[in-house]
Amino acid sequence: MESIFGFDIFSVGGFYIFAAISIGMSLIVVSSKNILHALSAMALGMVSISAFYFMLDAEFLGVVQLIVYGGAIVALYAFAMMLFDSREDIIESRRNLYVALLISAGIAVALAYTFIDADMGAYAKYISQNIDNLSQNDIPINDTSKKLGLILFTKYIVGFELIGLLLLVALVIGIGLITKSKLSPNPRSKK
Amino acid sequence: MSITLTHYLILGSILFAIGLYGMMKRKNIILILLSSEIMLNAINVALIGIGYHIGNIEGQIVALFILAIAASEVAVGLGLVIAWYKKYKSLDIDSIANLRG
Repeated sequence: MESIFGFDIFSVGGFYIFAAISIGMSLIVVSSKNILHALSAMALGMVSISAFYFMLDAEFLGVVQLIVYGGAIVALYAFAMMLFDSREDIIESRRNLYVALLISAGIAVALAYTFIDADMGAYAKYISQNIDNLSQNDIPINDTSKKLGLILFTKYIVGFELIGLLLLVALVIGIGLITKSKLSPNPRSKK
Repeated sequence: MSITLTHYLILGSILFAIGLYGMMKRKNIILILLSSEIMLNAINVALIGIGYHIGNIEGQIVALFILAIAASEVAVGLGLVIAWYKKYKSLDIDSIANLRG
């Protein structure tokens, strides 16, 4: 840990830099007129969010975030956009702009006030002292990725299998929605 | 000065509010889906931050499930959007107002 100017430069500096990048990129996503710019900004925003996972000792999830969001989801959106006419700008109406701004800013302020006022760090300490984490204490491993795998494949194996089933269903639905059905008995579908 | 749990929770709140704003303001269906991705990632940041500060690994497991659900949501959502676009040639969310009374 390198300490410059009296604080830990890696965690503090890294947090603020990546927070600025991710918030700025998210603002570009919700305000850009060009859909290609929004998509590129989302790719960078997702990559910078994965930096938080690495800083929080969640290396496995950081890598998964890079692969899934930085690779698969952005590629999927890019592929889908080739089917649309993305050259024209997006039609936006200003009708509900102020209502949306008011509601989302209000929710942001309310959440931030709750978290500042409640001293969540003390709650976290209290919970960590009193939590019933039997399944974790009998694993004498410091590597969080190994720990994650051990818990995922024992305690949460049903959820894991259901996620696999869900991905299979999503795959079949995705194929079924975008392919033309040649065997369709409905004559109206041939337009 | 160090980074506490409150920093991560406030970052998650800000990202969530940005995604919510995008969902309410946008007219393009694809950009509404992108905003929902931002909201899901904000929740993931909060979950992993809480799990790290509690010392509990289960926050990461819930975040992993959310990530998988987000991926399947994108697959199904984009399939629906492509089917809609083939039929109506529009990505405007107001074109899906057939059932309005």
